[in-house]
Amino acid sequence: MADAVPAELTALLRAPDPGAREAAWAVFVQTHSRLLLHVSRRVARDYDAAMDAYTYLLEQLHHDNCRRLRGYTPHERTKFTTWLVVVARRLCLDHVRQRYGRPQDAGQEGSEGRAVRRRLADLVGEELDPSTLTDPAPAADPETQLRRGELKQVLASALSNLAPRDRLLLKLRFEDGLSAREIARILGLATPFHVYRRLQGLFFTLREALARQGVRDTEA
Amino acid sequence: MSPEEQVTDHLQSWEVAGFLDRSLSASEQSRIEAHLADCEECRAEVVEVADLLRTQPRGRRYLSVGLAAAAAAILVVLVWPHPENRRTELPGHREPPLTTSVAPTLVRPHAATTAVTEFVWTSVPQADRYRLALFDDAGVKVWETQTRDTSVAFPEGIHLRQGSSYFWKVEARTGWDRWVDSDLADFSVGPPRP
Repeated sequence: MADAVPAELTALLRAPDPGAREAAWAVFVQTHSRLLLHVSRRVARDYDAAMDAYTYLLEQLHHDNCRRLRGYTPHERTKFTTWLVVVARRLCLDHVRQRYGRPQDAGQEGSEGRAVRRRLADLVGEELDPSTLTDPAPAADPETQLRRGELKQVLASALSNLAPRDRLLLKLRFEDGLSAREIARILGLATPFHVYRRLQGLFFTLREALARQGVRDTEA
Repeated sequence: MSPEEQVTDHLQSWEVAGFLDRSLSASEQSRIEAHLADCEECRAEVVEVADLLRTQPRGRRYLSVGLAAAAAAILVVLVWPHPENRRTELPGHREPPLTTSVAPTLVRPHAATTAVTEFVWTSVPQADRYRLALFDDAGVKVWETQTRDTSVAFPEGIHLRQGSSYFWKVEARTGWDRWVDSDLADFSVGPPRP
């Protein structure tokens, strides 16, 4: 059972006067300061920047009669602290981006990303040229270029026919490079074994889909 | 246009929290999974928040301070050195605990293979022993061995079923009763190429 509305938040939001509100705010900060500092440190990385982010975070949570905290809607089985981490992280990110700008490499796919997608191609079938997934550079000759385009479409089609949960699993594994343990935690699977077994099933499904599209027979 | 480029509305904070706490209805959970599959930004947020929750400091400050003070007071009374009740020290961790550990990375076998002759992984600093465990797809351990090397030959007496998936992991011993384990790796054994 989740703490639907924790006592310190109720006391803060229902404080009858400014004095009581400030006292309740002090209790709220005392209760959650370790968690909020944890988020600030993670987002900012550097000690000074983390303390700046923490200060900004408290200001924003306190601002306008705790408007953001009033936005919390209790939901059955959702923990208040989980929601608070999401909100705190977003606020800290806003602060860090305002102050230092977005990271230059944001959105750029590195060699690591290409490597994990190449592994997906390896696992789905050796018939599939990995570069069809990863390499936007034009092929040497028009025929190879055409073949790459067709293979890419076939795989994209096969992936799009999977259930959303399965596509998410593949993205977490092969685009984000998460370990099976991390994926199990995020998707609520019991153990990493369940992740691997699901992946095995998906590989089989994808191989079958590719074979139906004639990919198996196209090996040069 | 890729699915990522089509995403315009990102998840709200309650949706991220509800997804991670598994408190949403089945239809909501499915809708959010579909969004996460196509939205790299929200997926990164979910991954990061999950890790923040996993590593969050436990307990409340006033409780921990109070408990620490109480524990300190008890310790002062009970453990203050008295010549008449000095005890022999029990064996335990004498070195400071390791704060960082590098896990072994499994090199081969992986993915589909025609035959398994050896297992290879990367070395771990300060490790004096490695323990390898091999599981079948039901999670049953089919083989276990220990070695000082970062590779070990697979004994011929153990039969691996063709077409079945197997999982293996390696634990590295970095100190007395301290082990660092790798992630699980999987492979399957297929028929030899014609």
